[in-house]
This record gives sequence, C-alpha cells and structure tokens, in this order.
Amino acid sequence: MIYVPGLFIALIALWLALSGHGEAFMVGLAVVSVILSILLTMCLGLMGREASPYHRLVPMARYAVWLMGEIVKSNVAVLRTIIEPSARLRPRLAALDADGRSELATALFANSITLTPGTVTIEAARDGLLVHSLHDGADEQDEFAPMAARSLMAADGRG
Amino acid sequence: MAEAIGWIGAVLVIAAVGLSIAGAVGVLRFPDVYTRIHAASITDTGAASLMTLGLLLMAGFSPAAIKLCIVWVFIMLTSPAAAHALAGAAFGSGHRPVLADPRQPSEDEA
Amino acid sequence: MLAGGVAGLLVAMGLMIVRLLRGPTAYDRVLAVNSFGTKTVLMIALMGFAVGRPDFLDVAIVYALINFISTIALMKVFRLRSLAEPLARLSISREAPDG
Repeated sequence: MIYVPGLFIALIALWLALSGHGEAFMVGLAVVSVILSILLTMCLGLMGREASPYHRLVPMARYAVWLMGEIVKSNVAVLRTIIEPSARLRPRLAALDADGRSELATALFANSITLTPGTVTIEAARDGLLVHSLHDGADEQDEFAPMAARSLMAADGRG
Repeated sequence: MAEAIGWIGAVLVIAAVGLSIAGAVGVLRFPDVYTRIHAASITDTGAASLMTLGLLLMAGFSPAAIKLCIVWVFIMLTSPAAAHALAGAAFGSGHRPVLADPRQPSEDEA
Repeated sequence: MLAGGVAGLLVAMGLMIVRLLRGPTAYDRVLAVNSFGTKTVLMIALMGFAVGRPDFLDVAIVYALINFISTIALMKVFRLRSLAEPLARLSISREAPDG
C-alpha cells in the first residue's frame, strides 16, 4: 500500500507534463484517470517492492549514467564495424550466470545488455542469460563482469 | 550565445540522422537476424539520444522539452524489450545465429 | 537544415523497406518494421521542429507506443501462436543446436 502515493505522484506529474492543462476541471479528470490506473495496477498484481524500487532510485540513477557511457562506447564500436569494409564480424553466443540475483537485478542486467549495441539477450531465466554478441572478447564472463557487478549493486545493493 | 547553442543542436541532429542511416546500412549488410538487431539498436540508442539532445538544445526549456525527454525515456525503455522479444522468438523458433567459432561454449556444455 | 535531416531519415527508412522486402525470415521483416517505426518517431519529432509546431511530439509519443506494442504482440503470436496465453517462464536452452 505504501507504493500507492508514489505511483499517484508520478502519474499526475506525467499527466500534467503531457497535457499542460492546469484548470480545476481538467485536473479533476486527471485524478479520476490516475485512480483508475492505480486500481488497474493493483488488480494486475503489479504493485510491490520490485515493481516500484523507490528505495533504489539513487543507485539506479548512478548506474544509468555509467550505462550511458557504455552505450556511447559500444555505439562507436558497432558503427566502425558497419562503415569499415575490412571489419570482420565475429558473432558469438555466451551463457552468463545469474544465480543469486533478484528478478529485478536480472531484468536490469538483461535489459542493459540488450540496450548496449553489439550485445543482445536472447533468453533470460532465473539461472542465467543467453547473450549474442557481435564481437568476441577474450573471456565471456570477464567481458560482462563490470556490468553484472554494477547492475547487481544498483538493483540489490550488494556486489 | 543562443545562436551558437542552436547551431550545436543542429549539428547533433544531423549526426543523429547520419547514425540512423548507418544503422540502416548495417541492417542491410549484416548476415543474419541477430547481427541485424545489433545494427538496428544503433538507431534505437545512439540516434535517438543524439536527436533528443540536439532538439533539446534547439528548443530550450519549454513544454516541448519535457515531451522530448518523455519520448527519449520511452524509446530507451522499450527498445531493449522489443529487441529481446525479437531475438527470443527467433531463437525459440529454431533459427540459429551464424557464429564465428562453430564450437560454442554455451552449446557444448550439454 | 532540418529539412535535410528529414530527407536523410527518409533515406534510412527507404533502406529499411529494402530489408523488409528482402526478408529472408519473418523476423528480419519485423525487425525492419520496428526499426522503421523508431525512425518514424524521430522523423515526426524533427518535422515538428522543422515546421515550427512542437505539438507533433504528442504524435511521436503515440507512435512510439504503437510501435512497441505491435512488435511485442507480433513476437508473442509468432512464439505462442496466440495472444491469449500467458508467456511462461523460460529456462535457457543449453542443448546442442538441431539445425
């Protein structure tokens, strides 16, 4: 239940940002629609600690900044592969461990891998991830180790 | 000053368009679905981010700027989900990626 | 300047249509449609600024939503042959490739 006010504020802010209306009648409609959305969320069973990790906002923001840097780097790498005629593709599949991580941490890790160009998560499960990458590095676990550690830190608060 | 920021924004927008074309060329050139997903994700992340940044610099602080940020956050949240769904569905239906090294650690474990 | 950007995005979208027509698998085609959609979102946003009507951004948001949902729905149909079934939790397939 403690997640309801947070979701309410977030949804009202989104509504105001998208519509730009401030009249009482319109805001009343906004409140009605936001309450309907929250009821729907609760009926679907989506409320909870993992679905709304407010307690991890600051580590997540720090992780997002780091991830931006990684995205820039891998964008450059994939761009070079595309425009250099001599560049060779070395596609590779890698199985990564995800044991002992919460679902939130696994989802964050898998999404970060997919968001970075050059690597895509093919399958994500409790016990591990199957990752396809464009370039093969020296060692598959080492290559993803920094991202694994940082995403675990951001989502679960331990590394 | 405002003029200069506007020009920087325009340069970023043109760079984003260039990245977008490069991503499209990659999608045409790469050999199989999985490698093409990597090329397409250049458009999703790099081009979208540069375009947002460029338009933000041109727009300045306004309601349009907030909407731009919403579009950007939305693209960054949904593009990995779409790419993962695509790769997972292709893999699940039996398409196997072309690999550099035919002996794969993930597959000869079994 | 911005009109040139819109033209460049149209070129990129044309390349995606080539991939859409050439295939060869259904997944290539869906990837082409999805990437085409992302480029369309960028083009709508850019066009709004080019013609001085940033309201176009609302259209871009809706287009991004539709693009995402249609890709996910298509992939779910491809995978489960149905939209009604819940997507079961998968475990990683580590067996050798069969073809």
